Amino acid sequence: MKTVKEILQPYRDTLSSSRPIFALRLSDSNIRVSIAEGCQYKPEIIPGDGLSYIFNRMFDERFDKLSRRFTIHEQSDDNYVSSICNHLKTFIRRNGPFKNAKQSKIYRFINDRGVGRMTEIEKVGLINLYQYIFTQTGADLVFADKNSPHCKNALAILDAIQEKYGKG
Amino acid sequence: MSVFIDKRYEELDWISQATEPIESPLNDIMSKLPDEFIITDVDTYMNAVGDSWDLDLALSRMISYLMRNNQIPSTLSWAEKEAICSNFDIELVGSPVINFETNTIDGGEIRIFKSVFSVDEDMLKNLMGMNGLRSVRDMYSTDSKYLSRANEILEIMGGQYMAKGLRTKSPKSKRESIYYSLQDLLKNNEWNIKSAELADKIGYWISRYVMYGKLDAITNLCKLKVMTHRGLPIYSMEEV
Repeated sequence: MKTVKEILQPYRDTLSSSRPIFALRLSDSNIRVSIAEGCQYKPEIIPGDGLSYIFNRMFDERFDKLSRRFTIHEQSDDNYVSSICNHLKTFIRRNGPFKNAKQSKIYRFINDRGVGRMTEIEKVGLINLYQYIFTQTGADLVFADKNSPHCKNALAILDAIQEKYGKG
Repeated sequence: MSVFIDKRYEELDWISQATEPIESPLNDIMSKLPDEFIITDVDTYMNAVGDSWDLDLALSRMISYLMRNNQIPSTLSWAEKEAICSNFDIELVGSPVINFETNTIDGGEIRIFKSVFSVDEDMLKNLMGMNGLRSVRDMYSTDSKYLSRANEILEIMGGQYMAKGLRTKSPKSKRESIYYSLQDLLKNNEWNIKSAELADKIGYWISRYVMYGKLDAITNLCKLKVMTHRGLPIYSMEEV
Protein backbone atom coordinates (compact mmCIF):
# COMPACT_ATOMS: atom_id res chain seq x y z
CA MET A 1 0.00 0.00 0.00
CA LYS A 2 1.30 3.43 -0.85
CA THR A 3 1.82 5.93 1.94
CA VAL A 4 0.34 9.41 1.89
CA LYS A 5 3.76 10.81 0.97
CA GLU A 6 4.09 8.39 -1.95
CA ILE A 7 0.62 9.33 -3.21
CA LEU A 8 1.28 13.07 -3.04
CA GLN A 9 4.90 13.16 -4.18
CA PRO A 10 4.24 12.83 -7.96
CA TYR A 11 2.05 15.92 -7.74
CA ARG A 12 4.67 17.81 -5.72
CA ASP A 13 7.32 16.93 -8.29
CA THR A 14 5.38 18.65 -11.06
CA LEU A 15 4.99 21.93 -9.18
CA SER A 16 6.68 24.96 -10.66
CA SER A 17 6.44 28.71 -9.96
CA SER A 18 5.43 31.88 -11.75
CA ARG A 19 7.90 33.85 -13.83
CA PRO A 20 9.08 36.97 -12.01
CA ILE A 21 7.90 39.44 -14.63
CA PHE A 22 5.65 42.28 -13.50
CA ALA A 23 3.57 44.86 -15.32
CA LEU A 24 3.30 48.34 -13.83
CA ARG A 25 0.32 50.62 -13.64
CA LEU A 26 -0.38 53.94 -12.00
CA SER A 27 -2.97 54.30 -9.27
CA ASP A 28 -3.35 57.59 -7.37
CA SER A 29 0.24 58.66 -8.10
CA ASN A 30 1.58 55.34 -6.86
CA ILE A 31 2.94 52.48 -8.89
CA ARG A 32 1.09 49.18 -8.54
CA VAL A 33 2.72 45.98 -9.64
CA SER A 34 1.04 42.81 -10.87
CA ILE A 35 2.28 39.67 -12.57
CA ALA A 36 2.52 40.16 -16.32
CA GLU A 37 0.08 38.35 -18.55
CA GLY A 38 1.11 34.80 -19.28
CA CYS A 39 3.62 34.65 -16.44
CA GLN A 40 1.40 33.40 -13.65
CA TYR A 41 1.72 29.70 -12.84
CA LYS A 42 -1.03 27.50 -11.46
CA PRO A 43 -0.80 23.68 -11.28
CA GLU A 44 -2.79 22.00 -14.02
CA ILE A 45 -6.11 20.37 -13.17
CA ILE A 46 -6.30 16.96 -14.77
CA PRO A 47 -9.88 15.96 -15.64
CA GLY A 48 -11.12 13.31 -13.24
CA ASP A 49 -8.13 13.70 -10.91
CA GLY A 50 -9.21 15.10 -7.53
CA LEU A 51 -5.68 15.46 -6.18
CA SER A 52 -4.65 17.70 -9.08
CA TYR A 53 -7.65 19.86 -8.17
CA ILE A 54 -6.54 19.98 -4.52
CA PHE A 55 -3.00 20.93 -5.52
CA ASN A 56 -4.34 23.63 -7.79
CA ARG A 57 -6.52 25.09 -5.05
CA MET A 58 -3.84 24.95 -2.38
CA PHE A 59 -0.99 26.24 -4.49
CA ASP A 60 0.70 29.21 -2.84
CA GLU A 61 3.86 31.08 -3.78
CA ARG A 62 5.58 34.15 -2.46
CA PHE A 63 7.89 36.60 -4.19
CA ASP A 64 11.24 36.72 -2.42
CA LYS A 65 12.74 40.19 -2.81
CA LEU A 66 16.24 38.99 -1.96
CA SER A 67 16.48 36.27 -4.56
CA ARG A 68 13.99 38.11 -6.84
CA ARG A 69 12.24 34.84 -7.58
CA PHE A 70 8.98 33.20 -6.63
CA THR A 71 9.28 30.49 -4.01
CA ILE A 72 6.65 27.85 -3.44
CA HIS A 73 5.08 27.74 -0.03
CA GLU A 74 5.52 24.07 0.89
CA GLN A 75 2.45 22.39 2.29
CA SER A 76 2.72 19.40 4.60
CA ASP A 77 1.03 16.08 3.85
CA ASP A 78 -1.42 16.70 6.67
CA ASN A 79 -2.44 20.03 5.14
CA TYR A 80 -3.51 18.25 1.97
CA VAL A 81 -5.32 15.55 3.93
CA SER A 82 -7.07 18.25 5.98
CA SER A 83 -8.23 19.94 2.78
CA ILE A 84 -9.54 16.61 1.49
CA CYS A 85 -11.45 16.13 4.75
CA ASN A 86 -13.08 19.51 4.24
CA HIS A 87 -14.14 18.47 0.75
CA LEU A 88 -15.55 15.21 2.12
CA LYS A 89 -17.64 17.20 4.59
CA THR A 90 -18.93 19.20 1.63
CA PHE A 91 -19.78 15.91 -0.12
CA ILE A 92 -21.75 14.74 2.94
CA ARG A 93 -23.68 18.02 3.17
CA ARG A 94 -24.58 17.99 -0.50
CA ASN A 95 -25.39 14.30 -0.96
CA GLY A 96 -26.19 12.70 2.39
CA PRO A 97 -29.76 11.58 3.13
CA PHE A 98 -29.77 13.60 6.36
CA LYS A 99 -32.12 16.19 7.66
CA ASN A 100 -29.17 17.95 9.25
CA ALA A 101 -25.96 16.66 7.71
CA LYS A 102 -23.75 18.40 10.25
CA GLN A 103 -25.26 16.30 13.03
CA SER A 104 -24.68 12.98 11.24
CA LYS A 105 -22.16 10.49 12.66
CA ILE A 106 -19.94 10.54 9.60
CA TYR A 107 -19.82 14.35 9.39
CA ARG A 108 -19.00 14.67 13.06
CA PHE A 109 -16.37 11.97 12.77
CA ILE A 110 -14.57 13.80 9.92
CA ASN A 111 -15.00 17.14 11.66
CA ASP A 112 -13.83 16.09 15.12
CA ARG A 113 -11.22 13.44 14.31
CA GLY A 114 -8.39 15.80 13.43
CA VAL A 115 -5.77 14.85 10.89
CA GLY A 116 -3.09 14.71 13.59
CA ARG A 117 -4.84 11.77 15.26
CA MET A 118 -5.49 9.79 12.07
CA THR A 119 -3.54 6.66 11.23
CA GLU A 120 -1.76 6.33 7.91
CA ILE A 121 -4.41 3.87 6.72
CA GLU A 122 -7.21 6.31 7.56
CA LYS A 123 -5.54 9.11 5.64
CA VAL A 124 -4.86 6.92 2.60
CA GLY A 125 -8.43 5.67 2.75
CA LEU A 126 -9.88 9.16 2.78
CA ILE A 127 -7.61 10.30 -0.06
CA ASN A 128 -8.66 7.37 -2.23
CA LEU A 129 -12.30 7.88 -1.34
CA TYR A 130 -12.08 11.54 -2.35
CA GLN A 131 -10.46 10.55 -5.66
CA TYR A 132 -13.27 8.07 -6.25
CA ILE A 133 -15.99 10.63 -5.56
CA PHE A 134 -14.23 13.23 -7.74
CA THR A 135 -14.11 10.88 -10.74
CA GLN A 136 -17.90 10.54 -10.51
CA THR A 137 -18.90 14.13 -9.77
CA GLY A 138 -16.16 16.62 -10.59
CA ALA A 139 -15.14 19.54 -8.40
CA ASP A 140 -18.57 20.33 -6.97
CA LEU A 141 -18.89 16.81 -5.46
CA VAL A 142 -22.60 16.63 -6.21
CA PHE A 143 -24.15 13.43 -7.51
CA ALA A 144 -26.93 14.12 -10.00
CA ASP A 145 -28.74 11.08 -8.62
CA LYS A 146 -28.32 10.75 -4.88
CA ASN A 147 -29.63 7.21 -5.05
CA SER A 148 -26.96 6.15 -7.51
CA PRO A 149 -24.80 3.20 -6.43
CA HIS A 150 -21.65 5.33 -6.48
CA CYS A 151 -23.12 7.87 -4.09
CA LYS A 152 -24.34 5.16 -1.75
CA ASN A 153 -20.99 3.39 -1.98
CA ALA A 154 -19.13 6.54 -0.98
CA LEU A 155 -21.40 7.15 2.00
CA ALA A 156 -21.13 3.50 3.04
CA ILE A 157 -17.34 3.64 2.95
CA LEU A 158 -17.37 6.73 5.12
CA ASP A 159 -19.70 4.96 7.51
CA ALA A 160 -17.35 1.99 7.71
CA ILE A 161 -14.34 4.20 8.39
CA GLN A 162 -16.28 5.97 11.10
CA GLU A 163 -17.31 2.66 12.66
CA LYS A 164 -13.72 1.45 12.78
CA TYR A 165 -11.96 4.61 13.93
CA GLY A 166 -14.73 6.68 15.40
CA LYS A 167 -14.64 5.25 18.88
CA GLY A 168 -10.96 6.22 19.40
CA MET B 1 18.20 98.54 19.94
CA SER B 2 20.59 96.18 18.17
CA VAL B 3 19.49 93.04 20.11
CA PHE B 4 16.07 93.27 18.45
CA ILE B 5 17.33 93.70 14.90
CA ASP B 6 16.05 91.16 12.39
CA LYS B 7 19.21 90.60 10.36
CA ARG B 8 17.59 88.29 7.89
CA TYR B 9 14.84 90.77 7.11
CA GLU B 10 17.43 93.53 6.55
CA GLU B 11 19.20 91.30 3.99
CA LEU B 12 16.07 90.66 1.92
CA ASP B 13 15.74 92.42 -1.41
CA TRP B 14 12.93 94.92 -1.83
CA ILE B 15 10.68 92.41 -3.63
CA SER B 16 10.91 89.93 -0.79
CA GLN B 17 10.38 92.68 1.76
CA ALA B 18 7.27 93.69 -0.14
CA THR B 19 5.85 90.20 -0.69
CA GLU B 20 7.00 88.70 2.65
CA PRO B 21 7.37 85.06 1.54
CA ILE B 22 7.64 82.38 4.18
CA GLU B 23 11.13 80.94 4.54
CA SER B 24 11.06 77.24 5.10
CA PRO B 25 13.59 74.37 4.99
CA LEU B 26 11.06 72.57 2.80
CA ASN B 27 11.82 74.89 -0.10
CA ASP B 28 15.53 74.27 0.45
CA ILE B 29 14.82 70.55 0.17
CA MET B 30 12.76 71.13 -2.96
CA SER B 31 15.67 72.98 -4.58
CA LYS B 32 18.07 70.11 -3.78
CA LEU B 33 15.78 67.43 -5.23
CA PRO B 34 16.11 66.84 -8.98
CA ASP B 35 13.47 68.32 -11.28
CA GLU B 36 13.17 64.98 -13.02
CA PHE B 37 14.31 61.47 -12.22
CA ILE B 38 13.94 58.50 -14.54
CA ILE B 39 14.11 54.87 -13.42
CA THR B 40 15.39 52.58 -16.15
CA ASP B 41 16.93 49.73 -14.18
CA VAL B 42 15.65 47.16 -11.72
CA ASP B 43 18.23 47.82 -9.01
CA THR B 44 17.21 51.48 -8.72
CA TYR B 45 13.56 50.47 -8.55
CA MET B 46 14.25 47.93 -5.81
CA ASN B 47 16.35 50.44 -3.85
CA ALA B 48 13.47 52.89 -4.02
CA VAL B 49 10.98 50.24 -2.87
CA GLY B 50 13.29 49.55 0.07
CA ASP B 51 11.99 47.34 2.87
CA SER B 52 8.34 47.57 1.85
CA TRP B 53 6.67 44.16 2.07
CA ASP B 54 5.49 44.28 -1.55
CA LEU B 55 6.80 45.62 -4.86
CA ASP B 56 4.47 48.59 -5.13
CA LEU B 57 6.24 51.96 -5.19
CA ALA B 58 4.48 54.78 -3.39
CA LEU B 59 5.43 58.34 -4.30
CA SER B 60 6.45 59.00 -0.68
CA ARG B 61 8.94 56.11 -0.82
CA MET B 62 10.32 57.49 -4.07
CA ILE B 63 10.82 60.90 -2.47
CA SER B 64 12.55 59.27 0.54
CA TYR B 65 14.88 57.52 -1.88
CA LEU B 66 15.67 60.76 -3.73
CA MET B 67 16.37 62.49 -0.41
CA ARG B 68 18.77 59.72 0.64
CA ASN B 69 20.46 59.83 -2.76
CA ASN B 70 20.98 63.57 -2.49
CA GLN B 71 22.26 63.42 1.10
CA ILE B 72 19.26 65.29 2.47
CA PRO B 73 18.70 64.33 6.13
CA SER B 74 15.27 62.92 6.75
CA THR B 75 13.88 64.54 9.87
CA LEU B 76 10.63 65.63 8.30
CA SER B 77 7.29 65.07 9.95
CA TRP B 78 4.61 63.16 8.08
CA ALA B 79 2.84 66.41 7.12
CA GLU B 80 6.07 67.96 5.83
CA LYS B 81 6.79 64.87 3.76
CA GLU B 82 3.28 65.05 2.32
CA ALA B 83 3.87 68.72 1.42
CA ILE B 84 7.00 67.75 -0.54
CA CYS B 85 5.29 64.75 -2.21
CA SER B 86 2.38 66.89 -3.36
CA ASN B 87 4.81 68.78 -5.62
CA PHE B 88 5.87 65.64 -7.46
CA ASP B 89 4.17 63.33 -9.90
CA ILE B 90 4.88 59.91 -11.36
CA GLU B 91 4.44 59.03 -15.02
CA LEU B 92 4.84 55.71 -16.80
CA VAL B 93 6.42 56.29 -20.20
CA GLY B 94 5.39 53.47 -22.54
CA SER B 95 4.35 50.22 -20.86
CA PRO B 96 7.23 49.33 -18.57
CA VAL B 97 7.55 45.75 -17.40
CA ILE B 98 9.97 44.68 -14.68
CA ASN B 99 11.72 41.47 -15.67
CA PHE B 100 13.63 39.88 -12.80
CA GLU B 101 14.81 37.04 -15.04
CA THR B 102 16.91 39.43 -17.11
CA ASN B 103 17.10 42.12 -14.40
CA THR B 104 15.81 44.80 -16.76
CA ILE B 105 12.90 47.18 -17.16
CA ASP B 106 11.53 46.62 -20.64
CA GLY B 107 9.00 48.44 -22.77
CA GLY B 108 9.21 51.82 -21.08
CA GLU B 109 10.46 53.76 -18.10
CA ILE B 110 9.29 55.37 -14.89
CA ARG B 111 9.50 59.15 -14.67
CA ILE B 112 9.25 61.15 -11.46
CA PHE B 113 9.11 64.91 -11.95
CA LYS B 114 8.31 68.12 -10.15
CA SER B 115 4.88 69.42 -11.04
CA VAL B 116 5.46 72.48 -8.82
CA PHE B 117 8.86 73.86 -7.91
CA SER B 118 8.21 75.26 -4.46
CA VAL B 119 5.88 74.40 -1.63
CA ASP B 120 2.61 76.31 -1.67
CA GLU B 121 2.50 79.31 0.73
CA ASP B 122 -0.80 78.20 2.25
CA MET B 123 0.67 74.79 2.96
CA LEU B 124 3.71 76.38 4.58
CA LYS B 125 1.45 78.54 6.76
CA ASN B 126 -0.38 75.44 7.97
CA LEU B 127 2.89 73.73 8.84
CA MET B 128 4.47 76.68 10.64
CA GLY B 129 5.38 75.87 14.24
CA MET B 130 3.78 72.40 14.22
CA ASN B 131 6.96 70.63 15.31
CA GLY B 132 7.33 72.94 18.30
CA LEU B 133 3.65 72.58 19.10
CA ARG B 134 4.16 68.82 19.45
CA SER B 135 6.79 69.39 22.15
CA VAL B 136 4.25 71.49 24.08
CA ARG B 137 1.72 68.67 23.83
CA ASP B 138 4.27 66.30 25.38
CA MET B 139 5.15 68.61 28.32
CA TYR B 140 5.18 66.99 31.71
CA SER B 141 7.06 67.66 34.92
CA THR B 142 6.83 66.93 38.63
CA ASP B 143 8.82 70.07 39.41
CA SER B 144 6.91 72.15 41.97
CA LYS B 145 7.57 75.32 39.95
CA TYR B 146 5.93 73.85 36.82
CA LEU B 147 2.62 75.62 37.51
CA SER B 148 4.08 79.05 38.15
CA ARG B 149 6.30 78.83 35.03
CA ALA B 150 3.30 77.75 32.99
CA ASN B 151 1.44 80.85 34.24
CA GLU B 152 4.28 83.08 33.06
CA ILE B 153 4.07 81.58 29.60
CA LEU B 154 0.30 82.07 29.48
CA GLU B 155 0.70 85.73 30.39
CA ILE B 156 3.29 86.24 27.66
CA MET B 157 1.15 84.59 25.03
CA GLY B 158 -2.20 86.08 26.01
CA GLY B 159 -5.24 85.04 24.04
CA GLN B 160 -8.64 83.59 24.84
CA TYR B 161 -7.27 80.62 26.84
CA MET B 162 -5.14 82.73 29.21
CA ALA B 163 -7.78 83.43 31.86
CA LYS B 164 -8.90 79.82 32.18
CA GLY B 165 -5.30 78.61 32.15
CA LEU B 166 -4.27 80.97 34.94
CA ARG B 167 -7.22 79.92 37.12
CA THR B 168 -6.66 76.17 37.00
CA LYS B 169 -4.24 74.35 39.29
CA SER B 170 -4.16 71.18 37.19
CA PRO B 171 -0.86 70.67 35.29
CA LYS B 172 -2.73 68.90 32.50
CA SER B 173 -5.22 71.78 32.09
CA LYS B 174 -2.44 74.35 32.13
CA ARG B 175 -0.61 72.41 29.45
CA GLU B 176 -3.79 72.29 27.36
CA SER B 177 -4.31 76.04 27.74
CA ILE B 178 -0.75 76.72 26.60
CA TYR B 179 -1.18 74.27 23.73
CA TYR B 180 -4.40 75.87 22.47
CA SER B 181 -3.01 79.38 22.93
CA LEU B 182 0.03 78.49 20.85
CA GLN B 183 -2.13 76.74 18.30
CA ASP B 184 -4.27 79.89 17.88
CA LEU B 185 -1.20 82.08 17.71
CA LEU B 186 0.29 79.96 14.92
CA LYS B 187 -2.96 79.49 13.04
CA ASN B 188 -3.60 83.24 12.85
CA ASN B 189 0.12 84.04 12.71
CA GLU B 190 -0.46 86.74 15.31
CA TRP B 191 3.26 87.40 15.72
CA ASN B 192 3.80 87.72 11.95
CA ILE B 193 6.60 85.18 11.87
CA LYS B 194 7.86 84.34 8.40
CA SER B 195 10.47 81.73 9.21
CA ALA B 196 9.33 78.14 9.72
CA GLU B 197 12.38 77.33 11.85
CA LEU B 198 11.76 80.29 14.14
CA ALA B 199 8.09 79.39 14.48
CA ASP B 200 9.05 75.86 15.58
CA LYS B 201 11.36 77.28 18.23
CA ILE B 202 8.48 78.96 20.08
CA GLY B 203 7.13 75.56 21.13
CA TYR B 204 10.59 74.27 22.06
CA TRP B 205 11.34 77.34 24.20
CA ILE B 206 8.01 77.03 25.99
CA SER B 207 8.50 73.37 26.80
CA ARG B 208 12.14 73.86 27.90
CA TYR B 209 11.23 76.68 30.23
CA VAL B 210 8.09 75.16 31.72
CA MET B 211 9.63 71.71 32.24
CA TYR B 212 13.22 72.58 33.17
CA GLY B 213 13.21 76.28 33.99
CA LYS B 214 15.77 77.12 31.29
CA LEU B 215 16.26 80.89 31.46
CA ASP B 216 17.65 81.21 27.93
CA ALA B 217 14.38 79.75 26.63
CA ILE B 218 12.16 82.32 28.37
CA THR B 219 14.56 85.11 27.41
CA ASN B 220 14.31 84.18 23.75
CA LEU B 221 10.55 83.98 23.94
CA CYS B 222 10.31 87.42 25.54
CA LYS B 223 12.69 88.88 22.94
CA LEU B 224 10.53 87.52 20.18
CA LYS B 225 7.41 88.96 21.78
CA VAL B 226 9.08 92.40 21.99
CA MET B 227 10.02 92.20 18.30
CA THR B 228 6.36 91.78 17.36
CA HIS B 229 5.76 95.36 18.45
CA ARG B 230 7.82 96.63 15.50
CA GLY B 231 4.91 95.71 13.27
CA LEU B 232 7.22 94.10 10.74
CA PRO B 233 7.43 90.46 9.64
CA ILE B 234 9.98 88.50 11.66
CA TYR B 235 12.48 86.36 9.81
CA SER B 236 15.20 85.89 12.38
CA MET B 237 16.24 86.75 15.89
CA GLU B 238 19.54 86.82 17.74
CA GLU B 239 19.13 84.11 20.35
CA VAL B 240 20.65 84.01 23.81
